[in-house]
Amino acid sequence: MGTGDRQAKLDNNALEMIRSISDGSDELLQQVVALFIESTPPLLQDIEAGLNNNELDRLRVAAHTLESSAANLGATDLCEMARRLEAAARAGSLPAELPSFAAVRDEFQAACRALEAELNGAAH
Amino acid sequence: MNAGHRIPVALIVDDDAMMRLLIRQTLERAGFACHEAGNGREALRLVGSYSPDIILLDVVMPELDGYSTCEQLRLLANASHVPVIMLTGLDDNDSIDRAYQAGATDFISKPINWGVLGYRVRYAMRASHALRDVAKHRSSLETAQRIARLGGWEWGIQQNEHYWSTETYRILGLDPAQVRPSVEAFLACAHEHERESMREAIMELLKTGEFRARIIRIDRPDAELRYVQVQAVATLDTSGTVIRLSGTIQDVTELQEAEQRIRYLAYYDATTGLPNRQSFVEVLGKALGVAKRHHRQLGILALDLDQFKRVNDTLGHGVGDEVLIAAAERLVITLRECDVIALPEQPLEGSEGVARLDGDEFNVLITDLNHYHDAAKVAHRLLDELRKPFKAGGQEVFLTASIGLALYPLDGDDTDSLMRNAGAAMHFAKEQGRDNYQFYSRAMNATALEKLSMESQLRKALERDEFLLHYQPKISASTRRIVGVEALIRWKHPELGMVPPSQFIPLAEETGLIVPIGEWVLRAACEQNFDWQRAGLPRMHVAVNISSAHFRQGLTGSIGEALRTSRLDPALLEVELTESMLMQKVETTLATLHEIKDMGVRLAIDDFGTGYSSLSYLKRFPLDALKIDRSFVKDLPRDPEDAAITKAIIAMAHSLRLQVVAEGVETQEQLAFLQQHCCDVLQGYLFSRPVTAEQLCALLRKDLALETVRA
Repeated sequence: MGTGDRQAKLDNNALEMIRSISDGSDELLQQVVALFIESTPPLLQDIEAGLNNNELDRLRVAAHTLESSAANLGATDLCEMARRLEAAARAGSLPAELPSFAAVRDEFQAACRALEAELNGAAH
Repeated sequence: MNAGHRIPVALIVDDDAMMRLLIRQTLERAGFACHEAGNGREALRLVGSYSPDIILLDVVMPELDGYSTCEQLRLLANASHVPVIMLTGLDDNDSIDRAYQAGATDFISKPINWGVLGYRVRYAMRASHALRDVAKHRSSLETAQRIARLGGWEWGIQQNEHYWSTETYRILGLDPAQVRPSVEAFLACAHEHERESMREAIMELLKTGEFRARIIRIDRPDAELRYVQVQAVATLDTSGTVIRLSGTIQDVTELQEAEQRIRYLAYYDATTGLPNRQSFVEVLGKALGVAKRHHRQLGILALDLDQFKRVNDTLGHGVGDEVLIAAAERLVITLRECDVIALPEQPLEGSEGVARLDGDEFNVLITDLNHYHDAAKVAHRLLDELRKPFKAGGQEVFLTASIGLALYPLDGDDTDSLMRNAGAAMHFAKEQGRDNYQFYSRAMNATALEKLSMESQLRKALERDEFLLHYQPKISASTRRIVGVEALIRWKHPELGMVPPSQFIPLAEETGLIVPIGEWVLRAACEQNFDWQRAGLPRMHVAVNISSAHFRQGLTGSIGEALRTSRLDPALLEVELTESMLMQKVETTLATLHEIKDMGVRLAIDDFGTGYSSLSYLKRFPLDALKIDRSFVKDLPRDPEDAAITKAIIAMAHSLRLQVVAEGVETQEQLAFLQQHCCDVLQGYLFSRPVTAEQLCALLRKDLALETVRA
């Protein structure tokens, strides 16, 4: 369980790359972050269900999507968690040392706080 | 589908809205128009409506994943060649392999480097276009090669590796499953006559790297003969050694056959099937080359059918063509029998050395000529054969020909001059009365030149007054006195001296100068006799020989004029006409003779016995005298036949009340025979050769008629 106001560490290169696509403005980044915040909870639901019910395919697809969107926004830790879940799902077994659903959810919330801070010009 | 000419279209297939947004943003910045599909099924549906130039496809999607989507895209006609870039997970080698297996063009692994995505997509699209173009070109090249019947081959020398294209096998009629490509296998296909030269050409190519394209015959296993053009180029290494040969073989059989047909049309005469002029010129040119190298002689015969126009005019062109075809066949057969045609390089099949130049004109080439007599023999044989009657149009047609012969190297050393000179000789043969052959010899050449200058000299002779008359006395057999003289023309050329009549009379006849010359003779003879008579010499006639041209062109007028200007008693003029002159157009002749006779002029028939006189005509002609031709007198009295004829002529002449004159009397025996058989008048060297007017005057004065004056 993480603290309620923890901000995730963000890879600045990823954010800069998105800014560069929209000529340095935050416009695209804002859209992407909004999509991230909006589209991730359903993924988290799938991940939770996948983990609980051993629905590996459901877990794999959701983790894969989360992995790439986290990567796009430089949410490195979240990305790494998603990658491990996806790899395990593809491998066909869910070992005990996998990140828990709660850990993934907390890391998502921490990433969201960091991204909002970034967009509000209050990074770190 | 060409990215260069319109905005390229990208279809983005991803279930993740964020990915779609980022990719769209990136690609739009890179100049793409983008469409999105949230899953595989939607992608399969949209691909038909958007005709994307490139598809970006996420691997991991619910329901239909990226691999399956790609596989199904490849099955769609409108998407089978569209490049598909698959978006795979990080370091996911397994998914990369599967992507390619599913038919993906390329992959991009996540996380995506947005900065370079645009470039990668563009590159993938260009590469795909290039690949497609290559594939298209290769297949169109193959099609083009198949249509052109063009096969390719390669030979790596060092490894002795051979490659033949499918078309090469097809052209050679070989099965790739049964025949491995090799030099020997290729040579085995070549026609046996070409095999060695082809082998040599390959050796030469290996040695020098040079090869001249050539057409060879191929004997295919299916027994078809094909013409194949072989081309080759050599690749050299830095030391100049040939390391690889590559080339083509092309089936040019149809082309070759078409060329042969065109060649036939261009080189053969359609009526007779003989080679035409163009063809003859080429054959002669080649034969000349060979003859020059081997120091051989050639004979060129120009043959023209005599008066062939008459056949066409009287029997029609259909019959004319039939005769031409038959004549051509006869020429070919005869020449084959003569065995004088040997064309070493066989320039044209079916050429027997005979060509039809045009109309009724043929040329013959004799290549195996040892002596010019051989050419004469051939000409003789050809004339003999052509004289045999032709059957055409249901009747017999009779032909003769005139042939001119020119020889290499004697009469020229190029096709032009040889053909021209053979033609000139042929015209000379025509002039000689047709149905004969004439050589174009240097002597003939000289004669022609001499003739030219002689003609102008002859024209001047009249103006310059170079002619004069000699007179040969005619002796009465009974009284042995001079009863007349024959006037004989002489030409005293200022440089040449005395030119004998035999040299200029034929020329005068040919050129028509004979008429004015004849007029001069008449006038001069009349004037001379008038002078003698006025001088009180014995009364006697002067005889003048008349040419046939003059006889037909105003002779009467000339005689009247001569008598009027000379004031000679017409009874003292005699005109001597030949038998052959009188026997043509008898009615006209008769009229002319009567006109002359009516003037009081004596008429004599000259050279009697050589022509074909009709006795009934002779009876109707108002003649005074008949001269027995000297050829009958010459062998008298020993030749019993001549003796019999002479006796018969004398008897006949007497029965027609004609005076008989014997010419060419040279011996006492002849004189005795002629006297014995009552010949009236004698003329010849026994009494006097032709002498000048002064000499004759002296003879007359001395009245030496009984004496013999020998030359």
